[in-house]
Amino acid sequence: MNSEDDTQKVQRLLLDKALTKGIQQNEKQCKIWTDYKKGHQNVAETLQIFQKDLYVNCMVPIGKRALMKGKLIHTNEILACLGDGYFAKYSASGAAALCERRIQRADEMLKKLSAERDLYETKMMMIKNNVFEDYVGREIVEHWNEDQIVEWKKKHREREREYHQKLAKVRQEKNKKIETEDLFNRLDQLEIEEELADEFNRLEDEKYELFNEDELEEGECYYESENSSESEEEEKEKDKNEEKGKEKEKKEEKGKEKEKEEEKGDSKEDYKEVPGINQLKVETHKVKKLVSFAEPEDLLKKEKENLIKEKEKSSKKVVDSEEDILRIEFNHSENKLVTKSDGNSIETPADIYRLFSKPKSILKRSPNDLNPEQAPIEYSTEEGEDDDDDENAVKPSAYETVVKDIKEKNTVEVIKEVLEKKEESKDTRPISKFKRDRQLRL
Amino acid sequence: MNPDIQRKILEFETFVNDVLKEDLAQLEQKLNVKNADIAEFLELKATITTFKNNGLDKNGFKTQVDIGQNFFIEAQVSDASTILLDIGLGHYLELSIDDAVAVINVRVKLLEQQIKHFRKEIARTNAHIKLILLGIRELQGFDDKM
Repeated sequence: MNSEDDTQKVQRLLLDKALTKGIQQNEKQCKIWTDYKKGHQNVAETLQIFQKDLYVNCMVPIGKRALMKGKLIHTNEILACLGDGYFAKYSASGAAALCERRIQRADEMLKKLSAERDLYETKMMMIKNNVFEDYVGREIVEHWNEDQIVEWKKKHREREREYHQKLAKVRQEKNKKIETEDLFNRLDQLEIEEELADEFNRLEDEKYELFNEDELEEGECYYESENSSESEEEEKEKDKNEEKGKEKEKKEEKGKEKEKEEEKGDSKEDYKEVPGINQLKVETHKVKKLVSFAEPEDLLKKEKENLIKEKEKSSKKVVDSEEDILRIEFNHSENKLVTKSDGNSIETPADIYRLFSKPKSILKRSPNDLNPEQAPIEYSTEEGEDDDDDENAVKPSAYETVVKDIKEKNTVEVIKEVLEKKEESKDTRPISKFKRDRQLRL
Repeated sequence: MNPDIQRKILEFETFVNDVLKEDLAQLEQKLNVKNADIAEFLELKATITTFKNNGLDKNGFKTQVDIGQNFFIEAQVSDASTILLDIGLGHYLELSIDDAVAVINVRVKLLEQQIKHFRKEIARTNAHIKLILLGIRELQGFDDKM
């Protein structure tokens, strides 16, 4: 097992290395192609610019280290390198088109490279997350004979049969239960509906009985009540005064009616859940209105009084709440205002701002516009340093500085440091025998 | 083996690997840069002499200028009597062609000296390495005559 694990580890390491190498190469390629693309974009732009002029002044490079003043002529005649030492003469627009084609190709390559990178990264992720950990290196082994299989098949068939039978039984039972339950539920529902219908019919009958006396007036009243807007009621008061006598009788009757209705209402409340009760309720409301409009003036007055009382109450409440509010009264002190102070003295908060938080320029500092107070100091120090440097540099002869390379570090100290470090990590990193031998042979 | 000696050997080895060989690599890199520089200057000098010999400095000449990605445009230099020479740190100085040749000569001389110096340094470092390896061998008790 150990050897297997080891080989697995080695394999994984190798794979890891290969993948990282692949990613690095991919990055390199990406960089090359992006540079290629950018270069061609630049060329296309410059071509556009050169195309406009007959000639362009420029510095002609002579080798890498020298330039000469000159000018570009024939700006519409471009010699493009096709590779392998072959050149083709293009017009400016033709060269621009060539650039475009090359940019497109670069784009395609970049797309492919990014796809490749994605693939690499997903592979890395898989390895890191050990997606195939459980399946790698383990073979699925099952120990079976022909006989065992035959036996197993027989058993399996029996079990299946049993299972199916059981399943069928369970289903039947379920069906039965459902049927019986459904039936009972349905019956209950029907019963309730019937009762409700009966009740409804009964109520309607009662109503008719009660309202049958002096039908006409009742009809009027009913009508008025249905239009129950208070203004109308007031207008019709006079007419009603004539009928007051009759109405009193009605009132008595309606009082009774009301009581009954209320009783019914109570009884109806028991059936609230049942549909159709809304209608009943509406009707009860109607009946109640019939009673209430008997003395609309009083009602109005009462309402008004109530309103007034409420208003008073609310106003009182407001007053109370106002009394509860805490008030802070203050006076300005008699000190004189100090708007400005001279010099560096701090008398008001404004002085702190004036003295310490001066606006800072976002521009780069140049020695010309330094603060007059600070400038000379900095300058002098810098110069001093420069002088020191010069002196140091001049002391060990011109040959040293010009020909020899300026050494930044003292090698002896570096050696010491390195050795110290090595001593610390010496035990952890011994050198192999082979390596030592190789070094000796050098 | 004596633990002291072993420790000493380890120190020497690390010194060779981490200090001397690093220095050697750096020196070689610098030498290459200088060699490239000197080659460029010599080439420039040759170009200038051809200008002079063919009388191009007075008549002017035509050339192809690379505008990037190997796209060339024809350029004309009408007055080739002066040249701008790179004098280091990205500064260019306008010189007459004769002066430029003089400056280039000086620069080449300087570069040659520097190269000589680097060669010497490299040789010295190599000698150090060899010496230390010999020392290590002695410490390990091998015979001098293999």
